Amino acid sequence: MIVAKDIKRTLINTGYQITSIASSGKEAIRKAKTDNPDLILMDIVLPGKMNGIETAEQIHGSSNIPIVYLTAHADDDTLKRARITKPYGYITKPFSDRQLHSVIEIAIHKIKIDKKNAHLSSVLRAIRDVNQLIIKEKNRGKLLKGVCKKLTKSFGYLNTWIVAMDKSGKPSVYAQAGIDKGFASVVAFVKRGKPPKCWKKVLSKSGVVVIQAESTICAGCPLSYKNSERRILGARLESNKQVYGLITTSTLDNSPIAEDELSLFKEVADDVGLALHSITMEEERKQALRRLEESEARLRNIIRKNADGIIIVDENGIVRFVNPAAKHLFNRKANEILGAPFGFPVVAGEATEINIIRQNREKIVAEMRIVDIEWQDKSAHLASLRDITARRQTEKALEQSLEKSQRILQQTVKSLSSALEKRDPYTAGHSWRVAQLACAIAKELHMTDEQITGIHMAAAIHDIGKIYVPSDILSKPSKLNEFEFGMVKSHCQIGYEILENIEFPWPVAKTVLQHHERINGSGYPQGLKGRRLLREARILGVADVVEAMCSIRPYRPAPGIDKALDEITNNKNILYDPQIVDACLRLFKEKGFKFE
Amino acid sequence: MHKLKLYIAGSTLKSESIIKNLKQLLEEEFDGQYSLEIIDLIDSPELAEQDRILATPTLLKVAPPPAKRIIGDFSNKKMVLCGLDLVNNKQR
Repeated sequence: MIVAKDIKRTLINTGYQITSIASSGKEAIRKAKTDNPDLILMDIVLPGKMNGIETAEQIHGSSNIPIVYLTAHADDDTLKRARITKPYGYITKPFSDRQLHSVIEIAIHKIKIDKKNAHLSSVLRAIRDVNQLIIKEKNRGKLLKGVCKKLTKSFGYLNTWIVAMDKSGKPSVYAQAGIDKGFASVVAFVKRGKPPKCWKKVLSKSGVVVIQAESTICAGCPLSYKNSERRILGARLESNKQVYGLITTSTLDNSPIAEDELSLFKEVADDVGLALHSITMEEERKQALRRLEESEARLRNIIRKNADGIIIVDENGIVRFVNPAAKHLFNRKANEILGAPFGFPVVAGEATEINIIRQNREKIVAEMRIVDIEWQDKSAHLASLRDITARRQTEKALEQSLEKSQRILQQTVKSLSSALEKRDPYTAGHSWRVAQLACAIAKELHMTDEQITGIHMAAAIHDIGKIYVPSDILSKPSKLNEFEFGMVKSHCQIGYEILENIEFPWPVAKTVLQHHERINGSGYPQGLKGRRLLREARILGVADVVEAMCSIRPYRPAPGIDKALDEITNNKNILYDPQIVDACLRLFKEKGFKFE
Repeated sequence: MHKLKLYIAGSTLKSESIIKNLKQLLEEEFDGQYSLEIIDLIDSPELAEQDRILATPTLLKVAPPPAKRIIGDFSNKKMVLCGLDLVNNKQR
């Protein structure tokens, strides 16, 4: 006790504070707890049951207060026992003030180094923990919560909070450790558009931002009561030039900031930034993949349910996909088609016709269309196959029925024509010869086969109206009087009336009506001019005149082909269409046309 | 020497015209340096089965390698030569 008081005086004189003096191990343990001193000087020999070494062991059970032993008998055994308690020094009695002072100074220096090492190793442990977390945790919320916890627990920070932001800069995930209740009000402020002021400052630059808690920045902050006498460290969480959020922590502000600490904090912030970046990238990749899968699934569904047969072949023409309709079309099982060499599909226009060879060697006519697509990341060709057997059959049936009805029409026309010839033998064969010439002219004028057929029909029965003209007028060998001529002229109108109710696919009735019209309006019955006359009628008119002049009539001999060609040449562009006249002249003069 | 096989299904106006066009195309491109075997699978179904013919008209290039086959419309020379991997044969 006397020694203790001496030491106290010496130490106070040297500038140390003495929190208390204990006279027994038990008392020392209690006072160590209540005073929490920076260093304990412990005599190995103590009154009572516990010696100094046992006391030190007990104190170290609940705290890390460093101990320096005072001892009078430093035998090996005692030193060995003392060493187990990891003392910061020994001082052997008797000792001088200088000796005491230097032992304490060495101990305090050692304590400082140990503390720093302990702090750095906890920081490194925290970084390692955070890195491990970053590698395995792919959930943003869990990751940030974990980082906050680890930093607060092992980095020695009082609290940590992190806000992650989405691409637009809107806060999306919040995490904290060591704040608890107060954090809800921070989040509420943020949601009202009033984030803490330190936030703006942290986000404004890329390094670590240090804020003293009593600064104006913290005024009005819901966390300020917690942060007084504290220091705040903050940093952006960024990677690849994108800011993903921010992190802030607080520590007591009574210790100076080590340069190491700021760079380590920055390292943690960068690691978290990188983690947020990779989570975001991964999410985007997954989302893109999901969208792709969805669209592929949709496409597959469309293809699968399509009524047309669809097969997809690769670049080598090998079948890679077949839909149910195609299986049905080929009458083959999927495994007989998949992997089979269909061939590289070639379609020059919109579609092409192919024959599908079914499993039973039956042949199906199909229309094939091609679309170039991507299939399982490779370029491929989608061939859609439509069974057109039924369409072909219908087309054929229609064609046949059309042919049949035309045949019937032709037979009808022929019957009508021969009925007329029976009454008027002078004009026998006239109609057929006119038809022959009219068709040749139409061909010379490059009219279509359809139009030519129509002209043939009209020519064959162009005089059908004469059926109503008394036969003695038709075969009268002398000149007709006005009344008789009027009767003859009426054959155009009558022919029209006979034919107008027959549904010809060509303008037969009108051609018959107009075959005596002339382009200058001098013809009959309507006196139509120029283009108002059907082309068919203009052709028929020329052919009719030429043929008539080559034939005998009861009232005249045949003027002959030369006179006939003179007639149309002289009246070309007056009575007759010049193009038609030229075509007719070419036929006779250059192409050797002859009436059969 | 180019060796080709053409599969048709029955002699029709259409198949006649395909053969005619194809011969003209090959003549233009290879100056007689080709052989074209025409197989009607109605007459020779076993050959068609051997070549796994799923549809006609199908044109097979047997030589020179690689073996290729095309199906559909052989009216466009460029597409036919491209499909058979015989592009720019003359220049080569």
